[in-house]
Amino acid sequence: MTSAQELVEQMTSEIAGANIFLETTVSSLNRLSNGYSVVLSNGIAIACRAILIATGFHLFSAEKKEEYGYGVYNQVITNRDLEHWFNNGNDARIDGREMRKIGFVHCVGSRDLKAGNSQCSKVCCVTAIKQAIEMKEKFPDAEIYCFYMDLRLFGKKYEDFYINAQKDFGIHFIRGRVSEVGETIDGSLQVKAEDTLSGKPLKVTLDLLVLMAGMVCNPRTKEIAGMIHADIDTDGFLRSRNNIYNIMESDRPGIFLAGTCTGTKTVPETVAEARAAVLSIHNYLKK
Amino acid sequence: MRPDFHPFVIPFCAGMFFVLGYCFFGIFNIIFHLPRRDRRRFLVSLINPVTAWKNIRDIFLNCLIHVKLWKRNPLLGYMHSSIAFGWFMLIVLGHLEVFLYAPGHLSKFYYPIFFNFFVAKSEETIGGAVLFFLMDFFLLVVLSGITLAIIKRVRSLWFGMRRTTRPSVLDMVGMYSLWAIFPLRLLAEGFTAHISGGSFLIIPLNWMVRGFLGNEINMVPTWWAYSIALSVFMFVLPFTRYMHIPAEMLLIPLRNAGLCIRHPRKGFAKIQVLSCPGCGVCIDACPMSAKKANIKDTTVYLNRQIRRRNEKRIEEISDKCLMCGKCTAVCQVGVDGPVIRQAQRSLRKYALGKDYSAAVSPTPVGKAAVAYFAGCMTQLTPGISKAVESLLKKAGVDYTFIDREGGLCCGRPLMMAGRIKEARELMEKTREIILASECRTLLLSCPICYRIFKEEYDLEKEGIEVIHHSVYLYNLVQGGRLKPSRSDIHFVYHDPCELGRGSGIYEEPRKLLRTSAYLVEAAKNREESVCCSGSLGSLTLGFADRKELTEAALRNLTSDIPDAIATACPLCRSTFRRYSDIPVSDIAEVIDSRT
Ligand SMILES: Cc1cc2nc3c(=O)[nH]c(=O)nc-3n(C[C@H](O)[C@H](O)[C@H](O)COP(=O)(O)OP(=O)(O)OC[C@H]3O[C@@H](n4cnc5c(N)ncnc54)[C@H](O)[C@@H]3O)c2cc1C
Repeated sequence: MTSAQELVEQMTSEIAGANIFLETTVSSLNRLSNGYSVVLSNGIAIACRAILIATGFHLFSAEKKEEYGYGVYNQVITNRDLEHWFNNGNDARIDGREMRKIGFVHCVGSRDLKAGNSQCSKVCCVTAIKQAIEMKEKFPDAEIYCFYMDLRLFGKKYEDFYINAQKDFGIHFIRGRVSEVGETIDGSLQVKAEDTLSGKPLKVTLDLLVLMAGMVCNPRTKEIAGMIHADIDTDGFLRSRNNIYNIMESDRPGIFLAGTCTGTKTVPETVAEARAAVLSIHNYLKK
Repeated sequence: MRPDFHPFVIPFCAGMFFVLGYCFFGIFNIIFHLPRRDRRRFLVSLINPVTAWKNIRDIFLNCLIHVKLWKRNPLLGYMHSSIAFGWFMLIVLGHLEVFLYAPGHLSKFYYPIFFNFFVAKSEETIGGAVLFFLMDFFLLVVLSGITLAIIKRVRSLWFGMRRTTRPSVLDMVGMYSLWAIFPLRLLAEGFTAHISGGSFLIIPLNWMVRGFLGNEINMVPTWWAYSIALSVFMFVLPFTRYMHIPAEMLLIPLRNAGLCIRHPRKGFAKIQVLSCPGCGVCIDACPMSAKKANIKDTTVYLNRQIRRRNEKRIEEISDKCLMCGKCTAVCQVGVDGPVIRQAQRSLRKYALGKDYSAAVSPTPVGKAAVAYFAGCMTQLTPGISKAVESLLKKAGVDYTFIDREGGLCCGRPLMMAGRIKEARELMEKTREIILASECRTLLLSCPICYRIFKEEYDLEKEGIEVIHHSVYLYNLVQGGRLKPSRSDIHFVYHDPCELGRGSGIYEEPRKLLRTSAYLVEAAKNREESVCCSGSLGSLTLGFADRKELTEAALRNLTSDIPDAIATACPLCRSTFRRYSDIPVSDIAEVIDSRT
């Protein structure tokens, strides 16, 4: 597996010479006759002809799916929390506790009208598999369950990953949405779901439940869009000029888009789009 | 003395016979279609002096004086009572005149209506003067009402109504003829004022418009016009909204007899539909009206479509409703829109029937005097059940959380969907869980469960008290077993439909909240609280359709700029949380955080 850290380092080294402002936000954006003026939170103002918006996504707040118990029960965490734990190695909800049974819930706040998001977040299926394998490696005696509606493993080698998870790691995949999460009298976590393949309701007691929270548009993206009157699409993300062949361009002159600000994407898609956007900007500036 | 018959009375008589015949047949039809048990109950209630007196009182207060309208808007109240009561008095006084001055003609029922044409009597006796004065007075009252009615067509906001219904063509015919009757009567009586007598209204009129009224040639045509206006009104009445006038007089005794709706088109439901005056108060009240496209799905339009037998629209309207009951709360005649819809839904045949008779009731977790049943909705909002449990522990209550490991549905959603048989089967199973817990008190944190346990489970008979947590917790505070401290937060309390309008609980949740926070009120609250629109009642509204409605409900709630919202229903809480900018909590969570 490629580490994100390495990837970022490699990419920043490729653009050495560009001005990068870290820990800086955009305070205002104004249209000029031939471009835009950008005022940054560090006080610097920049006049430019084109802008590439790559403000990304926001993780769905898992508290909103209260029935899954995030914020209510201590043994419920999100994909982000788990990723943090993998990297930092400390989380009171995991450390020092016995892990006999671990559950993963797919599609938390994705493909869920009730939560206000109908889109698929694309990466959660494969992330769940990845995280499940990692957990199995850390807790070899634990039983691991993934509760899913569908598995959407479209990416290169994703399906192989899924087969390995079952064959080599013995991870259980249960087709059925979790209906609710509760606590038993002795304080352990109980998950109620339906196994739609066997057609039977199911109850399992778990030591840890990981919610695969999906992607929603970053609220700060909407602020930026407001400054330049760019449109928001019906799915809540930024609207591209055309969703099929012009996804990197907005309707505003000189405003380009890349990555998850226009919809849910994986890293390879994001990177490809970023490169395409840069090329479009190059052509735009030459005009 | 003039002849005692003139052909101009014929249109009036024809109209009168028609409308009386129609109503007589209608009464027969409705009573005939009542289930036998209900019919007996109704007939017995008619001879019971208590209900008989109540019937008379209610008919007088509602049909003639329109007290409920006065409470809603005095101008609207005056408009209706001036026309109804004024007209009624004109008829009564007309008969009195005939009785006093032409007793031989009492059998000619057109006599009191056209009295001034047939009988010349002077106002010289004291009695005559008083009578004439009263006749003119009530005619003036009716005319003032008609004037207001005309104004209302253009300025309905003055009468407290933002939106009203669009009248049908026949409604218009009825309306114009009604408006015409009284000015024509005034004119017609003006002709004979100098011979037949009159009082402060028609005598000066006679003097003032001598040019027209002094000419006898104009007289008979005017009396004809008066009679024709009456006739047109009576002929169209059964097919217009004015049918509510006779219908309500039957609705009141049927309701006082304690009947309920069993079929959406027959018997009690039919008389409710006919009693709808089409005023449209329910349009402004309906939470769905926040979206213009839904206006035609309000109860007034359901009634109209039922009268037109437009099956497709009846089904659509019946399925869409949130069943919040607000239209019933504001309805002047008490049409129970949600119950008619529920009855309509129950007629549907489903290809796939559900059978719960074989379902197995889960065993309750433990036995104790107090059984807490969270129900499906609180299972989905564990923050609430946690708070309830925490408070029960703090108060030292001996309780058991009987559906902690899983329970069954209370049956109310199926009931609202009109699937009565399935609901009953499920309720039987859920009842077993409750009884097996051997509790004395059944504690509920969901008003949907609370209402059906209270209304349909007959648990009181088993010696089990059914109580909602807002009341139970308030009692614990009152008894000194919970001591919440007060915070500076200003909460607005949202009345859940099933708890407020459905079960009449408005006070305890407010008093409970005041023990730990400041309370502000929503623009519309209590009986007129606006449904959160997450209701399980609607069978067809999707999430996207409900968003705008929830946002409108939130605007109503936050009109006084509270810091946070408190409610006492898990479904309201989840629904509001989806779109609210300020925190939304259940009342138990509020109290738990301060105890
Ligand atoms: C738990 C998890 C696991 C995942 N695993 C995988 C995986 O295994 N494989 C895979 O391919 N993808 C994975 N993804 C998806 C991947 O994270 C995204 O595809 C990728 O991060 C999208 O990149 P982006 O540049 O569009 O947005 P982001 O990564 O969100 O970056 C946006 C950046 O913009 C900045 N920003 C936002 N607003 C402003 C502003 N107003 N001013 C200045 N800066 C601003 C933000 O601070 C942020 O640095 C995963 C996602 C999650 C949540």
